[in-house]
This record gives sequence, structure tokens and C-alpha cells, in this order.
Amino acid sequence: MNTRYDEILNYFPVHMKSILEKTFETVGDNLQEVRIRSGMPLIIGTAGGNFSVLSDGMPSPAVGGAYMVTERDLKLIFQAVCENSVYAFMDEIRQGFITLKGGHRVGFTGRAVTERGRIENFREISSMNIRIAHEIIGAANYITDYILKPDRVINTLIVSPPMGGKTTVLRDLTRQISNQGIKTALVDDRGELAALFRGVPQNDIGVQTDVIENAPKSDGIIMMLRTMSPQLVVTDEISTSSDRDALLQCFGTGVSVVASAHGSTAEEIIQREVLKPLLGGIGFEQIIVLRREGVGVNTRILGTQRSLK
Amino acid sequence: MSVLTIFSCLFAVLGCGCLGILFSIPFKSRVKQLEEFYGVMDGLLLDIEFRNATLSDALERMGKNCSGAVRDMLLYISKSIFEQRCIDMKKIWQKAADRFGNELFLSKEDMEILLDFSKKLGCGDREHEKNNIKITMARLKLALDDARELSVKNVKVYRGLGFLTGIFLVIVFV
Repeated sequence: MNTRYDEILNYFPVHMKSILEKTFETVGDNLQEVRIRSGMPLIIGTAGGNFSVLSDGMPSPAVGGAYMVTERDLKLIFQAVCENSVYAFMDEIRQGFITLKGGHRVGFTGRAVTERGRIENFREISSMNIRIAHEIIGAANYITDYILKPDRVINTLIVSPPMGGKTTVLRDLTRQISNQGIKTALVDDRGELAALFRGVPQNDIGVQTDVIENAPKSDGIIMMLRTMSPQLVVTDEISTSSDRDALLQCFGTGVSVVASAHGSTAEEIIQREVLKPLLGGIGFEQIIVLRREGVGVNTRILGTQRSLK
Repeated sequence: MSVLTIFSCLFAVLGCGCLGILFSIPFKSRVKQLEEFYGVMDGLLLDIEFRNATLSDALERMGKNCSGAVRDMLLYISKSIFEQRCIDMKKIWQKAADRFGNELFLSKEDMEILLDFSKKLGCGDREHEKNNIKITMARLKLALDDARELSVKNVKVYRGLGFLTGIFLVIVFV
């Protein structure tokens, strides 16, 4: 069994752990996510599709005989992912996800408690999704030459649909660029890229990388610029206007930027209001669109890279 | 009176006195351990409020500042939370209490305070945790007052009784 799965198994109650041990052994490296919904069958997502987990641990396309998740299971798993310290994860809970040791991400939904229109907490958790982090050394080999030039790093926006391998590619790209001696600032607001655990990155992000984790992207970028004098800023999933404004400040300082965003095509990105000011000019010089191919997280450039100059 | 007799008398008085002191130790130790647990609660309050530390981290830090069985118990709980993750908090505290109970001088009621504390631990937001800790501190304070009172009274009684028994033996046998 993949040793990375051991970390995840510890978050399940003993009876579920024994079931999932068998499941993980069966699916091997193909596991992408585990979906846990109260009163519903336990489901795993693999590169080959979704399967329910039978009570004997075998994955099955049919739901008959599947292990049914109880409310107590869900509560125990939630407590465990919060390291039995829910209060310490309130910021993450408000955002709807928690990053585990190893970079795995747990998203959850349920009945939210709101205050002044903002989610403050979840009264009841109804479902959770554990997304398995895949650190693949060499995942960015396909695109490194487009980004890393002898004299500088090209400002690049990496685009793919969800589960398209953006984070995996961005992590490996950071590692490769950083190992070339370029001072890299990694602004990792969800803790998926470096996966710091007690200050130590759980993933290989290169020798010249400084990480700021769990801070809002906009604050993190400005802080890095002021304090760490980076040559390159790397950040994942640009989506809000505050992310955009922080990146605009970055471009103005001559620091290179490599970032990612959700999307399927370059045209889609160019149309997006939030991202428009970042494209062309002193901003991103190219968009690279990734597409998942077959099993695992093999990615390749879709068509040619698109110059924005 | 021979030297041997004098030594025997001294031995009897000191021996009985020491026994008296020995019997008074649980009362003093209970006070010390309750004070340590009270300090742990105070530290937890600060760790939750300002450091946003997880329970495993906070209990490890608190444990390292304590001594003896309190230290061992807290470090055991911290390690269990960290390693097992998916656990029932009360069960872990109960297990720790069973394991280190012999080395702790706490009464059944004192232990009940700690187990009640563990029931609500780790499952709420910061305010909930702070309230839980404050309630526990108030209960520990009452237990501590009681333990101090008992300690003052009983330590004197046992020590006095010990030495008096020694003197009584000397008078009777010499």
C-alpha cells in the first residue's frame, strides 16, 4: 500500500480503518479521493471512476452492500482532522477545508452558522471529501522549459479544470526552479503545496524556497516581497480581486510570478474579469493549459503556449 | 542510662516521627498535584487564546513544565492524541488516569473533575474551550482549598502523632 495512505488512515475510526486498508491496497496509487457522507455509502474516487466501498473493503461500482457511513463516524473523523482541537482550526473551518499532514485536503459541507453574511462555523457536518495529495517528482518536466529561461523566469499562469493536476505541477515546478538557485517565495494559503508540518515542508519544494502558509494570499504575497526579497513568487489558485491586487504589486517590483487558476481554456481565462488586469503588459506573459491524461496526474500542454504580448 | 539505650530512644522517636511524616505525604502531594493541574489549566487557557496551539501541542508543553505523575500523564495524553488522532477524548483521559492513578494522590472527586473536563475538550470553538477550562479551574480551586485545609490539619496531626508515639514508646519501654 502507498505509504502516503497510512497518514490518512489514522483519521478514521478503527472499524473504518480496517475496511479502508483493504480498499487502498486494492486501488494502489490510483486513489484520488474518499467521500464520506452521513447515512450514505462510503465512496472512493480513483482515476478509473468512483466506487463504493463494500463492508469487506472491496471497491464496487454498485452501492449494494456498501459500508454506510454513520453520523458518529463523520463526527469522529471531523474531530480527528481537527487534531481534536476544533478551536485551533476555526479559520480553516470557515473556509470549508483543512489541510492534513502530507498535503491531503479535507473539504466539508453541512449546515453553516453565519454571522453578518459570513460563514462562522458548521453546526452539523454532513459530508467530507478527502483529496489525496500526489507529490510527483518530475510532473512539471513537460513545461519547465517554457517557464525557466537562462536569464529569468517567465511570468506564467497555469490553468486546468479542478483535479487537472495544477497543484502537483506547480509544486514540482517550484522544486525545479528553486533547485536552480532562484530565491522562491511560495505563498501557500491552503497548505497544499509545501504541507508544512511543525515548520518542516512535507513535500519537496526545493532548497531555495521560503513558505508562508495559511495566510491570505494577498497578505502573504506582500509580506514575502517585503521580508524575503524573492526572485520568484509562486501561488496557487488565483480567484479573488484581493489576490489580483497583490499580484499586480508583485509585477510592479520586477519579481517573476508563477500562479495557477481554475479554467479549461486560455480564452476562458482571458474573459474572466478578475484575471483580465493580470494578463499581458507587465503581467502574465503566457498561459499554460494542463489536461489530465489517463491514470495518475500526467499532464501535458494543450496546444501551444499562448503568448499574451 | 547506656549509650545503646539513648540510641534506641532516639531511633524510636525519629522512626515514629518519620512514619508520621510518611503518612502525611499524600496530603501535601495532593495539594501539589492539584496546584500543578490548576497551572496546566491556566497555561491551556493562554495557549488556546494566544498561541492557537492544538491540544496535543499545548498538553506536551504543559506536561514538560510539570513533574512526576502529572508530567507523565499529560505527556501520555498528548502523545495519544497526536498518534491515534481518531479517538474519544474522555477514553484517553480515563486510560491515562487508570495508568498513572497509582502515582497520583488525587481523590476520586478530583479525578472526576479532570474526566468531566476531558468530556467537553477539543470539540468546540475557542469560547467553548475557554469556558470549559474556566469551569474546571473553579472546580479545581474548590478542591485545592479543601486539600490545603486537610493538608494543614492532617500533616500536623500525623507528624505530631508520629513523634508522640515515639516518645510514648520510649516512656513505656525505658
